[in-house]
Amino acid sequence: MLVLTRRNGQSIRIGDDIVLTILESGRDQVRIGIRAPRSVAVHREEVYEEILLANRSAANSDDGVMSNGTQHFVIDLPARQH
Amino acid sequence: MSSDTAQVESRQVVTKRFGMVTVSEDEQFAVPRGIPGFSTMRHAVLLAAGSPDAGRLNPDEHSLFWLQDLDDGDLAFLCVVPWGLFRDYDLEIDEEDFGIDDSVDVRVLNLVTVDRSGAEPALTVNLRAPVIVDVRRRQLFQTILPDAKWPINAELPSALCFGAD
Repeated sequence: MLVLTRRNGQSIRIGDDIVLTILESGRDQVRIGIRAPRSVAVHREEVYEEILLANRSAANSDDGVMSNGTQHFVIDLPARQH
Repeated sequence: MSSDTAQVESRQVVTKRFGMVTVSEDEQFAVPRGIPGFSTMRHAVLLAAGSPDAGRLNPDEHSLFWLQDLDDGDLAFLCVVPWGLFRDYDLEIDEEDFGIDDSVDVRVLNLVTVDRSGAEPALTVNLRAPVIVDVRRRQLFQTILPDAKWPINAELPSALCFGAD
């Protein structure tokens, strides 16, 4: 892991278009500003990890009954009903 | 570049659940960013799920789909249109984050987990990380909502569970 020391107000640039700025740092907490393109998803690691695990268990779902008789055809997803 | 002028080609994928599936190019969805845990998923198709015997879900309101990975035939996610099942579900996305021009092109699906470890199968729905589908550009993205009030494992109303009879 690359470790850099930064002061409040200083930044780190990742690649061409991602900038992390240390806004404020306290004893056990740091506020970080993130500037990134819209196409880059930014998440707290623990939240991302939770979704990743949820996706894995969804993929491993036992689904024997429900796949019976399933046919494949082009679907038209229903729009939201109000 | 434009898919309008491209020849519509189909591909055949051997899937674990549905055997050989033939999908034409215009039925496919691109998954440009993959999804968490499955970053290599790049092409998928939505297959309608459920036989008349599959349960008591009303197909008009509780549409079930399989999100089938076209690159990995073993990988498919059961997913559901949330609106009829979770009446208070409400999400706000910024279409521009996904390169979507018009919100009428947006559909939402949520991944379902089936847990058969108990006596009754338990179905939960991930409301925190919906799949945003752009039906015009045929792309889909899983996003994580900033609002933690939406559970990752919302229980499906028990009356709607599968195999209830």
